[in-house]
Amino acid sequence: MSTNSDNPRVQLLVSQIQPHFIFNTLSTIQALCRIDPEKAFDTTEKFGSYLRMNLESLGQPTLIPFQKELEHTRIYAEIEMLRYPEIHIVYDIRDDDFELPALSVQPMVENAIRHGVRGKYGGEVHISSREEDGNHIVTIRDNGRGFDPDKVTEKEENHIGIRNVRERIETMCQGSMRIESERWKGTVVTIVIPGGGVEENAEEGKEEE
Amino acid sequence: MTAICVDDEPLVLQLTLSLFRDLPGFSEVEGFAGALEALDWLENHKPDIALLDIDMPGMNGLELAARIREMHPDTAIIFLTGYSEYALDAFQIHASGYLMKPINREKLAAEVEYAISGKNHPASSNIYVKTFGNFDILVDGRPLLFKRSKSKELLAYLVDRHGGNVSRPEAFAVLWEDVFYDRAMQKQMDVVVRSLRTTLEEAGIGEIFEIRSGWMRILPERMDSDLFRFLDGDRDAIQEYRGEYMSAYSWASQTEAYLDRIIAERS
Repeated sequence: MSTNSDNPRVQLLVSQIQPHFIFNTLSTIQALCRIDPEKAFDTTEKFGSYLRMNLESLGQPTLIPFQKELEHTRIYAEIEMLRYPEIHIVYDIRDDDFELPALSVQPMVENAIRHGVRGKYGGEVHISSREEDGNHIVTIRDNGRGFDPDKVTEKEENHIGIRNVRERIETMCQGSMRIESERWKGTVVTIVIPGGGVEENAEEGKEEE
Repeated sequence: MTAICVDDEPLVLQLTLSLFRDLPGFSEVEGFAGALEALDWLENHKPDIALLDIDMPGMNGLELAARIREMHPDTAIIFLTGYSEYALDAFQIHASGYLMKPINREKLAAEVEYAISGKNHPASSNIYVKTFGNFDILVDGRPLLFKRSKSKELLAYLVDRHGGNVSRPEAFAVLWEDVFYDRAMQKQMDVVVRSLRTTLEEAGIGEIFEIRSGWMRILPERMDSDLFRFLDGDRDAIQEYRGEYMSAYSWASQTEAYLDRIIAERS
């Protein structure tokens, strides 16, 4: 086990499979079986959808529609809200006709929940998308614990996750990802996907306007 | 019996509460969504068992456990862990006292039974050797007084050797460091060994000390010790260790470094 988890590729795969989330969701379903079997029924289906999308996305070499990534994120967030009823997720989607790497938005929302707003009353994660100067901009903002960028104490697993998302955004569509955070104030993740994408060309964006 | 469950996830908390209520003998089961709420209640109550989720925001389960031990040393603690705490198993730390999520009912019952039985049968030995912080040997809860500090230090060294045989020259080199082991010092050494034996015999525990043809050792199986428990992977002993081992003795720093390394590997 230790030899495998030392392997960077295995680490990457594990960070994308989100074992933490899998075990936690199973625990939630186990609790629901006793407390609210109907909800257990629905949650099992949701979890199935999540796993299916997650597995399809693993090592996905091409970009996927933003709508699909958003759907994945929504299902993920719905399950998390069962675990932490105190958090709110707000969507403000003004631009959804573009493509981006799979598993780019969802892991950032996961960080916002797990390390940001979890356990905070009035905790909110704000997911928005808009078009600006021909670029597609996705932001994930939370009002949670935040962190001091100079003293990053997050676990290794997260580092790999964030680094991997950034790398794929940069290499697969020449985009960028910026993370700003302030202790006890919150964190803002801004993903910028250049208009026109890589495979498509810039004309598509113009036609729409 | 009184039990408390602490978990920041309301659904899992409801589950653990209901599982506890299914167990025989638990008249009172309290649930808390966070460490602070639990600590508040613990000011005025003393539960028999606490089931703590490790992964909680703010004060986590391990930190909460340390506080509970200070307030109520008799409260048995069982940890509930998700995925990331798998590392504990990887380092072969004694597995008892930890439950994985999703929860196995039989394992919960077994852990609870183990925790309760441990409370009903305290350490079978009446000899307790304390090595964390300053070294002391307690018989029936009272620390033994030594006429000679070197005798006490010799006993500490024998405990550090964990029952291994120690020769007089070796013991001498440890106790006096750079002093030459000449005829006069050999006499000194004899006095120290004899004094140790007398002290132990007078306390009625002479049987823990063995001298055979120039070699001496203690019998670790006859005593209870935080060090031995630590090395056996006992989670309470590991929690108790604060980075100080037999602080009064410079030769102890080697073992201290070893204990620190075990702690570092765990986290």
